Amino acid sequence: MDGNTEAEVQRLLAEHPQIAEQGIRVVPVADGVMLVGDVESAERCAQIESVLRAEFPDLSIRCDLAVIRVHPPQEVEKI
Amino acid sequence: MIERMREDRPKDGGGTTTAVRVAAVGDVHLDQDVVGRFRPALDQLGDTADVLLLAGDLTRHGTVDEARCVATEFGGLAVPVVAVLGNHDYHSDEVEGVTKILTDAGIEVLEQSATVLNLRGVRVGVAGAKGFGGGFAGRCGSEFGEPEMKAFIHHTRVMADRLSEVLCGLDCDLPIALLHYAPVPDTLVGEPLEIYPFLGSYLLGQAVDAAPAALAIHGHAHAGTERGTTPGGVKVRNVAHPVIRQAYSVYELTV
Repeated sequence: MDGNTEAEVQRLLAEHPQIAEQGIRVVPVADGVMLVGDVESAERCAQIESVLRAEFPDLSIRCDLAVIRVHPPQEVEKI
Repeated sequence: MIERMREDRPKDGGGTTTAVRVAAVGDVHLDQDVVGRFRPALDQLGDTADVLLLAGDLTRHGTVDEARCVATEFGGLAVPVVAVLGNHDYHSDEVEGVTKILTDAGIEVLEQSATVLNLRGVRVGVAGAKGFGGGFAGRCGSEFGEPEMKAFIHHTRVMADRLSEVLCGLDCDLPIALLHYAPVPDTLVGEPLEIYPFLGSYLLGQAVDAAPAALAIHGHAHAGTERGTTPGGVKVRNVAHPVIRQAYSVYELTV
């Protein structure tokens, strides 16, 4: 994979109407890319992987995406 | 200083100071698939905070349908909710409709404007603006060259000037600046240096220092850092959801 493909993946993550993710890192690995980052739901992890596999069928795409926790805080910071 | 959350917040010893708790989160990027996830934590807000600030990017694509999801999730809470919009909320050119839906749900949406809330007897002023990019000292853009470049930096400068005006014009005990874009580079640490000019501007930091604010809240930088300080010494907190990794953070300010 060359740098242009990496850039195209990054742009697709932001610009694809089903994705709109700007906070995911595209990490080049030996045979393709690893997507690393956080999203707001498990559905989005699956959706991102599905769209990218369809758009880049010849590229190996692996995901290390986590769903961000939404628990209430246990601490308060005094400013 | 970070302390374990406690419910009791009486006026201290002589009764001359009052602590106000500000909850904040940004970059929640709501759509149907997220509705209900934040609500259990939000339903506890009345016990732990006095106000909730939303630091933009409330939706994924900025559609009115997604705004309805935000209204469902963040409407009808036990505390006042004040928001600014973020770049995602502008994407579909439906800002007017998005704002109306949020406003109808009781969420006050600020843009180069301010509100004053009476919280525990303290007049808390919130001056809000989306902000914009441009970069920071030594590595910032200028109003020079092509019309597009001039328009980019001009937009940030005008927005920062108006934020400064509304912040300085607040008649309150505790002025807070609420932004989407970052006013300092400190809270961007973790992001690639190359994209700092797209994440914030020193002009916003100047506006925060002009009043000065008691606290500045922003989002936008998902890979950034929670804590920073303006050149003038105002504490800055990046509350992007991927940064704080909880439903919201709570900050206690004493007056």
